[in-house]
Amino acid sequence: MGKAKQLPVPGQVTAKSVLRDYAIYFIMVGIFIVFAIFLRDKGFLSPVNIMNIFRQTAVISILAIGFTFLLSSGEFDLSVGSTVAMCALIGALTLQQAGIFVAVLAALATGALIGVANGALVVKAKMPSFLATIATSGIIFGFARWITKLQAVPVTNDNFKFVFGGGNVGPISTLFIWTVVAVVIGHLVLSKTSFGRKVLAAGGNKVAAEFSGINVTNVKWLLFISMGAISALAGLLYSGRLAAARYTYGEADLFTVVAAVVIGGTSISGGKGSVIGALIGSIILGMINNGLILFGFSVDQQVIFRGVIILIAVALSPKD
Amino acid sequence: MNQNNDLILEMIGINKDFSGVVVLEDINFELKRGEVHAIVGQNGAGKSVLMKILNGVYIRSSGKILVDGEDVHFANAQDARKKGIGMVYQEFSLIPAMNVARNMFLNKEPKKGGLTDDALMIRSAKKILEDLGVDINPKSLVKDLPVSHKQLVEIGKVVSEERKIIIMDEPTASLTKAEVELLNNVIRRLKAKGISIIYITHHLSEIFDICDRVTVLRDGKKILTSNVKDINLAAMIEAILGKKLTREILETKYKIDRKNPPKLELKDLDLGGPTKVSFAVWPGEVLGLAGLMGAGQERIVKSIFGILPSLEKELFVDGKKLNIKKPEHSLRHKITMVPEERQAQGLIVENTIKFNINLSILDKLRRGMLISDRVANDTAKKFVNDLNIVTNSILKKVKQLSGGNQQKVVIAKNLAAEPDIMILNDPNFGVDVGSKQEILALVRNFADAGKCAIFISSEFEEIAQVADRVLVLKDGSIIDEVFRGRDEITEESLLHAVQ
Repeated sequence: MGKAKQLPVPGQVTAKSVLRDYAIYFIMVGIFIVFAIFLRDKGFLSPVNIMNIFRQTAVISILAIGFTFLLSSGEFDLSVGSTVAMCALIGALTLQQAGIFVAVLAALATGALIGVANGALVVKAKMPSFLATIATSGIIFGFARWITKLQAVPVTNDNFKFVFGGGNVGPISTLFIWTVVAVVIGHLVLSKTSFGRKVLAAGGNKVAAEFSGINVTNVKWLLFISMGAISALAGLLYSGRLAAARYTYGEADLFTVVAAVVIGGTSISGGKGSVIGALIGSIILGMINNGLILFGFSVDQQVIFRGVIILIAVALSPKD
Repeated sequence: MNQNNDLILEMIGINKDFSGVVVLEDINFELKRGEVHAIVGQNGAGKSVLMKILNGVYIRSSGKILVDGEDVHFANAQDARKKGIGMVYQEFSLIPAMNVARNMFLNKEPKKGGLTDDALMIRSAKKILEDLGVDINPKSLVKDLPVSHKQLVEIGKVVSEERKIIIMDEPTASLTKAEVELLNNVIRRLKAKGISIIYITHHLSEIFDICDRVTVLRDGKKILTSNVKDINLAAMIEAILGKKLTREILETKYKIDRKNPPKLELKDLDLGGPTKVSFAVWPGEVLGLAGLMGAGQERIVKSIFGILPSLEKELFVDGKKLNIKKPEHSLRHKITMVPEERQAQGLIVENTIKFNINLSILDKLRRGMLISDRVANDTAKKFVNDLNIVTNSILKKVKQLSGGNQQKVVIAKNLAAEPDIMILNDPNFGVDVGSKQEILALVRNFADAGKCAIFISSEFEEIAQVADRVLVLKDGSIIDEVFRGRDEITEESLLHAVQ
């Protein structure tokens, strides 16, 4: 009979726990090293390219933070993509008539209002968020196409472009600054505030959370509203960087955002979430995107590769 | 080979360790043909590990298992099934949206021309259920059945597989007294067919009704096997605990003065009974609510806690009228509840002890914008220590704790909110004997600090042990009120009163 040895103590750091908890960092570093070696002639490591990766990843990271909160609380928002487009258009249209402040406010208010509607459908009308937001997504997308008759809305205000992703502070893109600020706030709120705990409790066990005095309805509603506002910010960042607003913005982002969040270790059934993980997940996907382009794959091949690599990354990411 | 025709199963010198931690030590267990054999012990005594070895979920570290005299090695549950060992699970393994017959023949549907033969399936299911003496329509959807019938369908499912040995894990956990009798009839019929049953339970009194022999495990060792007729309850409990159990009355230390204004007053709660429910609770009191299932005790506490806000009533705390519409409001007025289903309603089992204990005081943990992790740690450690929650870390996931320790976490979460009034809805359900006594003492201590506890239990003996006063309920009305010191409060007197 074996000698009784100590069971692993939860929270204690062991080689195994490091491997499990930091798997996603290893994946990120692994991909980075592979690309750095095989793409060294194609400028993967050049500062310009690295900044490019961050620039292309920024909007995904910011959306992923909002999505991490929602998923942690056990809810989905599939209207993210069309909300991004709608808010970008509203922002750009307002900017043609008014100043930056009013335009930003209009975009954020649009996003928040969409969030109010999504939240109401879920917490008040008790619809599954998965279905409710598929429906609202369609409605918003339709309106986004309609209000501009599929035309792009140019953004000419230089200050707006500078602040929302078009400019650089020294060598650093303003997109990068937005991302850092969003990650820091998101991380603190989820892991260090009572609101963050309430989000995790609501997703972990709604009844137990309510019995502990937590207003799950309000928590979730607030999350939908925040997701709307964050989508609006994403829309502004797109139109600032690309100097125009289009109804197609955000269209393909939902897929990437969900992948980034799940790779980052957020539980798809709620109760567990990581903002830092979502950031790392976004960067991994951004690097892969960038690498595939540098390798010279065609767009079709990139799309296929991305699907395969996401599957691999999700399979390797921490699970219980 | 040891050929003993009487024995369907022999487990000889079974050892099991998990990465060096010994959980079963040299267990010998035998099962006769047509015998109902109880296995009892506290949570963590090794019952479930032993059963999981028997049905192929775990692989033993050493030892021998003979089924019908044949040496067997199970690599998985399928192997065990092939040797005629079946298990009726505590958590139902039924699919709610399918009908009874489809569930019973799931993955072994009779076929005709490549398609499932539904008519034959329903006929066979009907026959099996009739043989068991139960009246369940095989075409009913499982989700429409009462819990007791689901349990019987579970058994029918196992019986349909022609098992020689059936393991029943806490089969009565969700049954009422009348339903237990129904189950006992089924067990008698199985016995008459020569099927052997291993019966795992926390309700020791049931053993005397239905079992032939009993084996007691403690700390991974077998303590005894005895004919049920040769052992009494006290000896059984002593074997389980390793010490004599004192089921004494827990004395009240607080001087309760019912001439003072009460802490809580409930007026005119309409449960559809002959009279509306009104009562008061005074500081220092444990108020017991005793009644048969559905007599109204559960609806009373749910109404107070704000889960059934539609029931009309008036509620006063410290003479002030409260309008409680949801649990959030109750918490604000320092009323907490230990709900009847600790996993579904009390805990976030995927999260840690620390997270759960701090759940009801999140806003109190705030230091500025952020919450203080140090305070959360201290709170969790204090309660783990005070309530004797057995764990090696406050970061352990709650789902890895035994039932008794899980319940202590729920109570810790309640106590952390510093309630004036704590409602406990059958807190000792599915809890091992040792933890039960500790939990009762916690309730008593809570009230002795001048607080109020409202206590429901399906075991009236516990009410007798801890309550200062008991309201006896029947059909949604209070039919009697008995006081400690003035009236007799015992398990028997309460059982008699609620009929």
